[in-house]
Amino acid sequence: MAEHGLLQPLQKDLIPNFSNMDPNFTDQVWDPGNIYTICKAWGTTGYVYDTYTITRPMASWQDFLDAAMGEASGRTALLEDPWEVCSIALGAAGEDLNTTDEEKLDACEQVLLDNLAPHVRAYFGAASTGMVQGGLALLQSYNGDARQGMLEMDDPEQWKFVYPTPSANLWMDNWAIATGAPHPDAAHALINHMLSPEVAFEQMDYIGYPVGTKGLEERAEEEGVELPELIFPAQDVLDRLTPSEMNEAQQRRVEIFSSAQARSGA
Amino acid sequence: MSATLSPAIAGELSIRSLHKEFGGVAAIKDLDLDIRAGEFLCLLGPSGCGKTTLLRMIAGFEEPTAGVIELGSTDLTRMPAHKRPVNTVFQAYALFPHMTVAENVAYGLKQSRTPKKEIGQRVDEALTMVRMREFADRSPGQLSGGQQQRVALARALVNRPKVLLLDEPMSALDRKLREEMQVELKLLQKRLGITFIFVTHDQEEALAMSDRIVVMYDGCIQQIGSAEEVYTRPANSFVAGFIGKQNFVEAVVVSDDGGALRLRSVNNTTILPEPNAAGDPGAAGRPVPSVGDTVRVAIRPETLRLRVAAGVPSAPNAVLGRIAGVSFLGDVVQYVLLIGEDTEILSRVPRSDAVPLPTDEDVLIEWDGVDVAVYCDEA
Amino acid sequence: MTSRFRKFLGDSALSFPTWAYMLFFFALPVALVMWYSFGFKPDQFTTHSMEQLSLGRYREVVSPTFLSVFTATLRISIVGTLACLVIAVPFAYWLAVKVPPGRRGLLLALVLVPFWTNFLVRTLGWQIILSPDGFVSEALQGIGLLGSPLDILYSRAAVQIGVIYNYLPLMILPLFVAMDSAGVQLREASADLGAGKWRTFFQVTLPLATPGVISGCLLVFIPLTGDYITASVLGGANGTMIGQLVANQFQNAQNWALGSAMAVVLMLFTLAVVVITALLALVVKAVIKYVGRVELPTGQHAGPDAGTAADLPEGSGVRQAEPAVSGTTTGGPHA
Repeated sequence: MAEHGLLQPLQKDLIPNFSNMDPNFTDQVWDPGNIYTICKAWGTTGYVYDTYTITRPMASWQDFLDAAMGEASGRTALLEDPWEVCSIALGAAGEDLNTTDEEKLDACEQVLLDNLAPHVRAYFGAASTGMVQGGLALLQSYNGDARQGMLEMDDPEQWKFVYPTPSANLWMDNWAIATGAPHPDAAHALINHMLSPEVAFEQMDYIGYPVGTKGLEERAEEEGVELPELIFPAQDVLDRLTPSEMNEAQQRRVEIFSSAQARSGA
Repeated sequence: MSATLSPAIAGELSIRSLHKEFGGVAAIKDLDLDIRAGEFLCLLGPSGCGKTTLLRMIAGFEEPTAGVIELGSTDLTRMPAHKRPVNTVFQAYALFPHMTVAENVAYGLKQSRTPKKEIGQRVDEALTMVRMREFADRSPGQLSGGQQQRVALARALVNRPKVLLLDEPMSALDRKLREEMQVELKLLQKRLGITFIFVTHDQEEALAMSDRIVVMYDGCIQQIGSAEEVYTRPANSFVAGFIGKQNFVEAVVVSDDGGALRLRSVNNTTILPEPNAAGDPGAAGRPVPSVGDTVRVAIRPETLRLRVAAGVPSAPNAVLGRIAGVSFLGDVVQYVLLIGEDTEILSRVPRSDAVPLPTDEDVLIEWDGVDVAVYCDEA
Repeated sequence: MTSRFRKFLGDSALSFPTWAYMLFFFALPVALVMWYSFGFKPDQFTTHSMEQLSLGRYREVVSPTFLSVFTATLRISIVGTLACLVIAVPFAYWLAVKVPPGRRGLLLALVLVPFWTNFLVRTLGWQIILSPDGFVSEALQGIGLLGSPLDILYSRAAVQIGVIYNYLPLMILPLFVAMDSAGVQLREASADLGAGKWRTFFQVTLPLATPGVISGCLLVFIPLTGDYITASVLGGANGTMIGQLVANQFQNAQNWALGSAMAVVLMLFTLAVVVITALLALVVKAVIKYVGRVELPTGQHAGPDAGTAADLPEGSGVRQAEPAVSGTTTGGPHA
């Protein structure tokens, strides 16, 4: 978007609270030096499963594929997002999740269509609904959504979330100001306000995702926020995550995704 | 050929203690009526008198609250409309807009599973009878009101009903066409010999067509009789006032000399009805008033005679009045007369008998005792 | 000025709001979508480009995926439309014929109440109803009709139920209006001529309600075919509808050209289904008309008819009353 001149550069002097940002979430590949964007919230993708249906240990994307084709067949749900769905197969094969390599994507398509898709019941924007409505046993999910779904459950032992190996998406929602925005001062003030430690905590408590400021995890511990491990992945998890890129293979991913959806429905 | 259109058994309707209420309000009150086979009977009355409700109960569209309707020896009372051997010509014709004229006429025959060939023949016959054969393939929307009515008639008659019900079928036609249709309908009925029950609020229509007229008011039958009977010998003041033009005057019975009444009207006119004439209550079998009673006196406009006044009349059955208005109604001349300050009466004189009368001075109004009718009722 | 304006627009001046609405909210958007469908997606950050026009997107559209989803969609919308019709016809009949006019307003309001709620919220409500842990599931298990939890949510059956529920009022309303406007008199006339309730319904009420049936079916079928909310919320994988594929192209792939081509193909397919159905209906109607035709004897007015006609009051002056009648009888026996 910045390349197309749709965003205006941020004036950092208007956002003094930028200094609160955790360096893990600044200076990302798509915007080195945070010229245009600041992290609003971040999270990762994994999966959540019903421990009564799936009793074996679950850790990797390969485990996900095996369970989906095994005990959770017909009770598996994927995210309604081409990139995320492709990452299951790419992740299981240990490939770069952002690959543009045609052969690797062809292989990914084959796994998804022939192996996974026939066992998939639904594709969701957010997994929590599917967990609450019942009937499903294995759902690809963002960590915060899984946490929300689990918080609504009567039986806390039933569901378990996995940060799968070898890698998964590290996604980030960002603040940015559109070119020609009529009140850039107000926009800067809002961003600054949202980055203050107090507001950042409130926001995290509400949406269930960290907002990328320093000291948030310690604060959450102090306040006794439930299931903090689903908000804050451990450092070793963080280290292996891959930020998703919008690249030229996106069209191919949509194609794979649509075919997978059709195959699931057949 | 006309024999095939005549019913094998004539329709004779007998209605006993028929009662109908709508939400607790009685529309038909304990009514008895015998309708003869093959007669043309009119149900006549103002709107709301119950005549249409009676017709709809005969057709089967309304269920009586109590009472019995019999056709010959068949009890129709609880029989659904579609099983009754009667047919109806509706007020707005109710032709099926999605069918051609021929299909409309064939509709009833198809319901009775008549063989296809016979349907064709009978539809042809019925349409020819009402002179709509050429319109067989038209749709009802393309026809004039009169044409639609002929089709409605054919559609009902093609089924050879025992009784044909007609619910104000002429009300949508203009006057000239209506009068012509009246003649045609009457002739058709005579030829077919089917019982016709014709509902109307138009007394002229009833007088022109009926063998008998049933005058209804307030859910009850007021009088049954031929056109002449109801006109010349009304059973009560309602019928007297409803059929034809009528002058009503209130009067008090001054004396009763062995049935010869002497009456005095509110403006001091002496009225002497002729004993044993049609209007005499005793002779007509109506309640007889006593001396001192207030009664209603009815005198038809055409029985009044007008002439230039030669002074205050000393004889009874005469009064002075002033001409307040004159209108020419074609064959008659109608005068509106004012007696005293506020009593208005009508007089009708054949045009040929009309003489010039002064409009600025009193005229003498005379009548004969034989034309006076006396009613004790309040209506 | 005004007169020149009127002269320019002609008689359509008065309907300006209507055709302006049609132009800006129907014709232009459709034209735009058609135009885009000939373009392509030049790079990942651009939705479409019109520099090179081609039919290439259409070749991409007609893939096995698209066709299988399209077939599924068609099945859902045809079954949905028929189900709406089957439910709405007796209901509309009951409402128009049996319910006293005073109570119709209330019942119509009840039909419309769901429409006051947001489409998405209504559909989400069905998630709760159809859930394996929901009350319907529990009730059915409770009375022993079901051995295991209701397994219907996130399936084609759930979408089917959802769309029937969502589009039913659009079928009921035109049917009610059509049946109501036919009026009680024609039904009475039919009964009077010997037809029972069922025959009256099939020979008079339903044929006269045909315009209502047609508009109801169009009002349900067309938006239902393009619906993707119901499918997204209730459908799961096997309830996927074509609308979701189109939405994917616009939202996820940001490929407006391919999305537009899909939308155009969807429109053409929908139109084709409507046209084919209409042609079938016309054929059926013609057959019914032919089977039920009335054949009058061809030897017009010969033989016995002449006798009947001769009985008519020739001299009564009736024939002069209606020029149309007398004018056409010249070929008949009266002439």
